[in-house]
Amino acid sequence: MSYRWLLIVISACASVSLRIAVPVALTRRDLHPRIRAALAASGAAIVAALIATLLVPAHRQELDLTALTKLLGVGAGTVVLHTRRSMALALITAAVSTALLRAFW
Amino acid sequence: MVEPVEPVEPVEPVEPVEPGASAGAGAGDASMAPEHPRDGRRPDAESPRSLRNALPLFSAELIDGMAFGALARAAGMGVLGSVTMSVTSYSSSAQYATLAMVIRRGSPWALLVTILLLNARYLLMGASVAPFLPGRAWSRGLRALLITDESWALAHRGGGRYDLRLLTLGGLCLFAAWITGTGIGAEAGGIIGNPARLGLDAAYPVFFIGLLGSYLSSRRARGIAASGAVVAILLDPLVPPGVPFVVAGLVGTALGFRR
Repeated sequence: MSYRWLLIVISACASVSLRIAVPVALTRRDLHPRIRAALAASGAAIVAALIATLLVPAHRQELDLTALTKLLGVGAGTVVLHTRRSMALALITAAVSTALLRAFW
Repeated sequence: MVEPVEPVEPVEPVEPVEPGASAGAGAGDASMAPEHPRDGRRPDAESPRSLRNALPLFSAELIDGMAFGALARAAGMGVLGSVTMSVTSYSSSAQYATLAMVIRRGSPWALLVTILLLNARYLLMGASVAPFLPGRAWSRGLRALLITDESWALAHRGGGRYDLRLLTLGGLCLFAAWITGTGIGAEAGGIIGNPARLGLDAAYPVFFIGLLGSYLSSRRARGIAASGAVVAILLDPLVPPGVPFVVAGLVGTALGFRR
């Protein structure tokens, strides 16, 4: 097996294992209700963490044009999300406004 | 065509699903979705509309896949290697880490540790979805293969419940878009040029912002979400990518465990 294919196999095994390990091992009956509630609570923290890391550059000094236009686009999309309550329109608004800002700024 | 997103109403706890109730069921099998305890509506009744609302996300996934395919081809993975990696790993972070390792001729063990750190959040996501997965172990495992950040968040229905049909359909659409994009990118190279000019990177945060609302059913949940965001922002510059999500998830679990 070549080096590249070895890495592909490692990537596949690690990714698949992490995804299926818990769902294969656990059923609803295995989990105490309090643990289920705690896991449900972790969802809010993970989604918030995803948003935070997507919005805030890891290195603060790198707040360049790309990051700034993204923030403005996300702002526009969020406004649409809350005024029109349409996810699809919000996603399109965010992408288009960011693209336009990057094209003409 | 877009339709308004309605707020998810608070739900009562769902009764446990009997193991084996829908083993081998396809994505459209209604038996895997328990009846709504109050009004008889199936919890997944909103799935098609929610899936339509996520259509721009599938387009973004396609473009991202194309960008990955082009990079993988440039890194010498070939079309077959690039597409195989997308099919078998189905994780952009793991796949980009693999590319970086190929380019630097890094150690396979280093790649293994990197991917475990990058994707350890799937353990928490899998744990949150596991109670709702019916059937035998292999069936639950197959469905869990479709868990990504996007499909997992898309399938959340409030109160810690998950819409399995949406998880499956959304996951399959994202999977198809990612693989198709990888194939096109690897075959056609740089037809899309710099993907950043398309502004798609701004769509992902808006997607998660839109879905965060279903988690914020109480003041306590809002506090946990804020804690997760703060932890991630503080850790992001200090630790390897992926670790902030795990720590934020563990903090959320710990806070959620407290009475």
